[in-house]
Amino acid sequence: MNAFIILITKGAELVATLTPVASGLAASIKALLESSGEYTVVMKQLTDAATDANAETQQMIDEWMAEQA
Amino acid sequence: MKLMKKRAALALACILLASCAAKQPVDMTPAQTAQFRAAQSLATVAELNRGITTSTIKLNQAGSLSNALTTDILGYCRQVAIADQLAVDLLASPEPWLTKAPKLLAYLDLLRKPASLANFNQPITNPALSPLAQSIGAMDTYIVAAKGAMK
Repeated sequence: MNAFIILITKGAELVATLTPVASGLAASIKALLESSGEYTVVMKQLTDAATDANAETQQMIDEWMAEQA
Repeated sequence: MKLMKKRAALALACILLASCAAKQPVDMTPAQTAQFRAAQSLATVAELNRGITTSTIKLNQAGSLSNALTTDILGYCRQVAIADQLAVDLLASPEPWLTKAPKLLAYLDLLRKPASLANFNQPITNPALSPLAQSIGAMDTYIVAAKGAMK
């Protein structure tokens, strides 16, 4: 009976020790995923905007050149 | 003339607003920060270049810009659009930043104003061309600044 109580007590202590570590780790991973996700989204927005503008610029130039020909 | 100045100011305000809208994400690595700056610079150059192209064509259609000068400016705008897009494609590739960075800087060199337009900023007899000359000068200055920000 004493051994059982000691086991429960040690188990509770272990959980109490690991919980802050686990929750801290989970928070770090969540932050990392969120920041990398945000980074990817912003990068895509910027490269898409540049691609659209470059395509439109070239199209305008092609049209003007065609009019001159 | 007043209308053109207002339009130029409005275009500049839109570009600044667009630059601010792409807010820098937090907690980026140094390589991510450099790539974010590169993407922001390339998007801004693309927007400026589109504005210059539109203005050049409109001025030509209004009879304020000769076909020869229009061809020169549009040739430069096409060169900028092609080099900017090559840089954008490179930026989106999975190549490591260490090997990507020098190539991007080389592409930015291709975006610099050519010698044929060097005198375009000199006193211009036709005041309608002044905003266009300023825009081309501003884009060149921005490209130089972008190179510095990426190093």
